[in-house]
Amino acid sequence: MSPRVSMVVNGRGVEADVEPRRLLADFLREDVHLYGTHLGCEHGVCGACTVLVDGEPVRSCLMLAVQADGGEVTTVEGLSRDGGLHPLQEAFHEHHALQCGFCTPGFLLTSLYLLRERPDLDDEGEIRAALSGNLCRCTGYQNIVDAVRDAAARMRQDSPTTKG
Amino acid sequence: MPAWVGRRMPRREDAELLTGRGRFIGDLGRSGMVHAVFLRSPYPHARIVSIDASRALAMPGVRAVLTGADLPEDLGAQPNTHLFGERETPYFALARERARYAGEPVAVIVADSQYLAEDARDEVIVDWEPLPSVGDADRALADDAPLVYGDRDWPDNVAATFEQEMGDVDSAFDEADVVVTERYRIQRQFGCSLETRGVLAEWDENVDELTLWTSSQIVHIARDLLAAVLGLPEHRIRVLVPRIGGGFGAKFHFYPEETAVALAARATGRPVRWVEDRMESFLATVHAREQRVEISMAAREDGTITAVKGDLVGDMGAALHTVGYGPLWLTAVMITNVYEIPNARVRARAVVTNKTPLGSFRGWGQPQANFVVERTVDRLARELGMDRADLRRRNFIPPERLPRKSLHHTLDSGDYPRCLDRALELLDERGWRERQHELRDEGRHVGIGISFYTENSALGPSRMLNQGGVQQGGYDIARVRVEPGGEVTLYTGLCEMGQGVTNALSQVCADNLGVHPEKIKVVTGDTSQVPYTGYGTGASRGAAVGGAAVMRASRKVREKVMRIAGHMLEANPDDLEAEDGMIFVRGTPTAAVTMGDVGRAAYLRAIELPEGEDPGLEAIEAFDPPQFAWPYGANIAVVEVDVDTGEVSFLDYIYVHDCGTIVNPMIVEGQIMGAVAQGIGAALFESLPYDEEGQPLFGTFMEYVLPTAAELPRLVMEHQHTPSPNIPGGMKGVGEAGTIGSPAAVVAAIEDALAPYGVRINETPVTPSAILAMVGEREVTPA
Repeated sequence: MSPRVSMVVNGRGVEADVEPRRLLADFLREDVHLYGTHLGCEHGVCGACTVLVDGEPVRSCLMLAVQADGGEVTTVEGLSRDGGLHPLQEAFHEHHALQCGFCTPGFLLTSLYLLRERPDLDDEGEIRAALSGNLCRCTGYQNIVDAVRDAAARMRQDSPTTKG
Repeated sequence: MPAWVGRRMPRREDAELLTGRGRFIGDLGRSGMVHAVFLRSPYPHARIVSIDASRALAMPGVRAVLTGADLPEDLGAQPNTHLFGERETPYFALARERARYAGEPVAVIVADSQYLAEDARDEVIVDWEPLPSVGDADRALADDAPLVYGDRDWPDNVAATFEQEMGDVDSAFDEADVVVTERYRIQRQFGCSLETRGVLAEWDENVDELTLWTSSQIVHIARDLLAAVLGLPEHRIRVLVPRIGGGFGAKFHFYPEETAVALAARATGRPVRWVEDRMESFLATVHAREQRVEISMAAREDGTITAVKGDLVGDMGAALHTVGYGPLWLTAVMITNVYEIPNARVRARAVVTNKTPLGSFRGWGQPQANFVVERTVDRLARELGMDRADLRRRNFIPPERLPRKSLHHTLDSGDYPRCLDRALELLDERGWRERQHELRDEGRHVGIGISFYTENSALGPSRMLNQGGVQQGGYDIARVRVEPGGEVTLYTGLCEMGQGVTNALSQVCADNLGVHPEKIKVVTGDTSQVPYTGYGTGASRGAAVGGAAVMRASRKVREKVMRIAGHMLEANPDDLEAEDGMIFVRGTPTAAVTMGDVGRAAYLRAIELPEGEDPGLEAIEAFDPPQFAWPYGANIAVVEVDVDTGEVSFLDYIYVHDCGTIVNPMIVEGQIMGAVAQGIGAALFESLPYDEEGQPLFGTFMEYVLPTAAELPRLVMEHQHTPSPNIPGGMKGVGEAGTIGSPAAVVAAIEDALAPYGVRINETPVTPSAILAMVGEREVTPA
């Protein structure tokens, strides 16, 4: 018996019958065909599979698809705006904040949440602490930290109403 | 004038990866595809009495279960391409009769989904007869040790002994004023790319041809080894490599799963995909590094090091994998590092144990060599009462005496003192020596550690590799084609795994052909398209060997472009220049044709070609380096140790190096930052411990601790530039460099920080609990 789940993924409604044990990550990848959500550990440590569910970051390898029923999910595919890159994506590109790119979707979603919560963020130590739940094996994080700080500044400029 | 080489050009593949459109092995699908999982040995050493798969096979959706007994009679053992005179340690796609390490693949289960395949795996019943086993190289060397290959009549657990010597070591030790001897233990680590491994195989039984996608750094070697194992001609196998989520050497190997998944595809008649589970990866992917080293150095009172000898034991695990005991060999032959030490002797024993096979990880054997040499130089400095940097300066091979033969290799070029001096200048500019005193006076434990490395890169001269026993070349071949529209396609056998080699190669091509890099598409990872590469993607050879091949092919095409353009412009080809896709008469930019005009002439309008010129516009050129290249550099770590918690934090990290010509500084810096992070992981966190019998004491990322953004330092980096005399273009390569000197510098800094306690740290990783044990157990003050 497979319950029916429905959710909004990157602004589009999706519905499917899924086994209760099906992971949200597998649902997004195999059923919705959004392969940008990557599985790096399947035990909730590496953060590569991070997506936003109702605006909150979750490890989609630790959440079942049925738990996201009725929710709104944002994956890396939902980040770019009007065909252009999101300021976070632009900053990652310009700062060489990705090498193999496998962990990148998780970092982007974590950072997106972070900068929505803390648009004023600028302190390196705070950024490092906030990103410490995501693993990257390629970059040594320095360029990721720089990209997130730069993206925060760009986003503040883009939305001047935000209090600094 | 180079327009693109040396430029900080952001990567073109980023857009794909940033928007979730990059396709990795786990993202690939084929019509009718089914899924494989592996059943692995739970025992370090056990005989397989029987396997009963009947219940699994009866489950709906289960397609096949293959075991060692189902393997073709004539299936070859998994090959080792680095033969240095060792005993054979044959192992197969699936264990036949016995398993020699926990995690060895025993059966492959194929089902309609991965969930079903995992369910079915639980129903496969193996009757095991556990056998005596050994989980430690020291124990494996004991007289009464269980034998890993007792069934093959080995009298002991030593797979190979390598010895090399130069000069008169014994006399040098007899005549020495000072001798220091130290024993080091370097732990098991592994590459641990964020993307695990994976394979997708499709067997076309109509024509008996295999197509195999694999997350691998060795596209041609994988094809050839598959051909050898399966007994198929190479041209009936096509290997493709999609986007790779990091390799770090662990994907430089040819694995049992590649063979087993291919066989499963043949058995089921369906495309079969296997993606390694993270927990599985800790046992199924090659481990690296583990060695015990005893090293002695002899010196005169003035600090001249006169001799070094090393006795190395490599814990190879249960089999010699694709690269044999290559990394251990490299540690042994690099025992003199960058120093002018006339007398040296090494013995390295490759010892088998009931553990996951040891293999490649960024740096191969060099981080170990650097650690034991650099830490011992520090000891010697202390013994002599000399400054650590002065002792290094005194023993550096001076620039005027390069190139110079060391124990095995010939170091090529550079200025080591200038590099170290600049790093020390930065240390002083940033005030650390003064601040260390001030902070110490405040009761804080602050230390400074120094190390100096060189790296064996641009691997390598094919004849030298073959003479050493390597059954592979070291050359690279590039193919450059100008298309009819003037765009360029560059084909390389090197694999892009995130290190940015395709971007770098397009910069080299752009300069040498006279086009914009945006006009160049780089094709990688398909044996049906790309030229053969001798050694695969590793050993910091992409920019140097691959770059030189691209340079040659680009220039060859450019010559033809100039002949055709000269004909079209009625000008002497020698008077032409090419830039940004325009070919023009020097000094008269209005007299010009485009690369597209030339392309059309070459393919479509023979009427515009010079008399006797062949159609087509492409070249294939090989480059086989005459010598290795030797980048080098200084690491200086400044750390603070909290003696109440054992925590190490970085106050600063200085990295000054020379990797010859830099193609793209942004990429070079990224490579170094990432590699230093792995070296810091080695120094502080990462370890794969086993119990005495060979049972793993790890299984998740909670035990195998990777460094996060919160622990790692910001690097202060400077480049120096001594072009390699042996590589056209002067590139030396940089991929592995950061892993080599960083563990020694970090551990030296910790030791310095703990100077009041007089500790000696000869073992990594230096975890908080190791530090607490060294400084004596203390009560942790509650916050």
